[in-house]
Amino acid sequence: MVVLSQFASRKGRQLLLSFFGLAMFASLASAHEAHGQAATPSPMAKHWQDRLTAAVGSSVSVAADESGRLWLARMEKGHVWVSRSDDGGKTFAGEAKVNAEPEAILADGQNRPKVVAGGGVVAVTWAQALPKLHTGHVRFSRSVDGGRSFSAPIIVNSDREEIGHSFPTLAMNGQGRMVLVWLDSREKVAQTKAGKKHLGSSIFYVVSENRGETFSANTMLADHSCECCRIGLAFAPNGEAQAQWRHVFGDNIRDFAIAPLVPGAKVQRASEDDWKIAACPHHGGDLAIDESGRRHLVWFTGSPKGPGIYYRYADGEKMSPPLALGNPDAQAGNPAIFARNGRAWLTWREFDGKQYRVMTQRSDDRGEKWSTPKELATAGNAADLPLFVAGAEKPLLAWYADGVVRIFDLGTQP
Amino acid sequence: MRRLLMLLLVLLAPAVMADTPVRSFVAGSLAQIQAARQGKPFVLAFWSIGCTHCPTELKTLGDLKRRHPKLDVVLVAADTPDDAPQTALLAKSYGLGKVEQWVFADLMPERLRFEIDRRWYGELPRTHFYDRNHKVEAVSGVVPEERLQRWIREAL
Repeated sequence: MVVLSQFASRKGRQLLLSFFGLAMFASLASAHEAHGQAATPSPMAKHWQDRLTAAVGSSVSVAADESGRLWLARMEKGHVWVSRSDDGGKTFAGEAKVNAEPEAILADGQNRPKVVAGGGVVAVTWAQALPKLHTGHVRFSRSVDGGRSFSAPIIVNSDREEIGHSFPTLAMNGQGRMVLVWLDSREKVAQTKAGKKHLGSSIFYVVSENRGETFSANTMLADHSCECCRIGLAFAPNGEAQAQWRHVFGDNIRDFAIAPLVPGAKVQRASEDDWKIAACPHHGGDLAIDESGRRHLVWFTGSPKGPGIYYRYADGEKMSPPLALGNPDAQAGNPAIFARNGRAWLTWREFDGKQYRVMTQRSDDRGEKWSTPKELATAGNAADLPLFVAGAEKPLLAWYADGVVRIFDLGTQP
Repeated sequence: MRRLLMLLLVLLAPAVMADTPVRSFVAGSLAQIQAARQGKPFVLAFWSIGCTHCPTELKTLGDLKRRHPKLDVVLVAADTPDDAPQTALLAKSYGLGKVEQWVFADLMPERLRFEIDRRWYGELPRTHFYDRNHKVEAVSGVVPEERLQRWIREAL
């Protein structure tokens, strides 16, 4: 093994591997794994970091404050940038750099910088990628001067090991209560170290009663979540926030669950697709809660019973039968939902072989009956998932596609 | 002894470095892969650097390839061409350095998936088992080793 140390790079080690044949494979592989736990990043991890820091994020988020002003968060070259729109999203201006020092930021697919705004505060969370693959820190920063300057980013996860803390999402209500939820692998790491098999990751959260000035201690909401699906998050009328996520039930049944962010919360199973899969589908769902406390849920399953995207509502333990959405032959996926004043709107993305299209449906009776699906917009180049604007009073849909953030008011659509 | 070893390594490096180049997987690539294997069974394995469960799958495939040299594995990484050096390194570390390797090269991965399987939503790993007649069985998630063994018994 002394010879090995003369090869600083991983390539060197692999050269040896090829040369001496496979007899040595096992011992070298385990040596490499042990080495991988150390602080020195491998060339691959370094490359990963450099690439992220140089990239432009392909996922963004948009929030509205109580005046209707919109706030856009996006990632470019290692920084989160926040800009504002005073014209309903036609133009965004006054872009401010959130983190002064560049860092590797995850901003694609299910991971995105997430913004909320209200009460004079604009706040953002994002996932900072650490050198080791699948590891990160949950970051948070806020502005109290109308988005002109942002506080030095903090690390939200109290566990500072180089393990998974990622996929954060954020919500704030009118009273200034803020919740931040993320996927955290500290429990998995602890269990694995103790020699126990641990499936999935865990859902952790913090709560702030003062718009992100201070947060409660890190709390585990549920163990055994799926590792890389975005989390649905919404406030109930009683001020209690609830989360929806892909959970691992038993040995790798990856269906959805829902629970309020309160100590000792009961985890409610929210889909019964029985999708047994030893993988993370990178495909989360979304949650909206209307004035009556009815929870509207959308999600994706690949279960052979009926793969595709679905909608249902839940009143307490009682749930409506799942309603299939979209065209399964057009990769209909990543649905989102908005519910307000007795009405509800659905959106998802399809791909017709040439271009992406955003589809919508509306319900005027709190999710009982739905209009026929309608194509809202298309894009011929790379496109983000369609999302509803966080904190908006209206069903504002934001879609970052063809390099532009487009805002649609679904309330004014025919 | 160490010096000798080093010398040997340096001398033989070009030979052992000759791994399969990673090709860009674009529209039409699937047809190319299939055409090159008319009447032959093969395993088309989709994976990605950022996929938590893929190492398990690749390790198993690497072990099988070692035990069954005739097993034809084609790797397709659902990453980007920039990642090619890394996908090659990883594949090699799992004993799959010599198998045919591709990497997604499209800003719209949905376009590639549309061609591969309209009902594939991008979950990884994803394994397509081709029999002699190129009838395909697609599996999402890590394929249990028994399942792979059974395919080898039936197809090879």
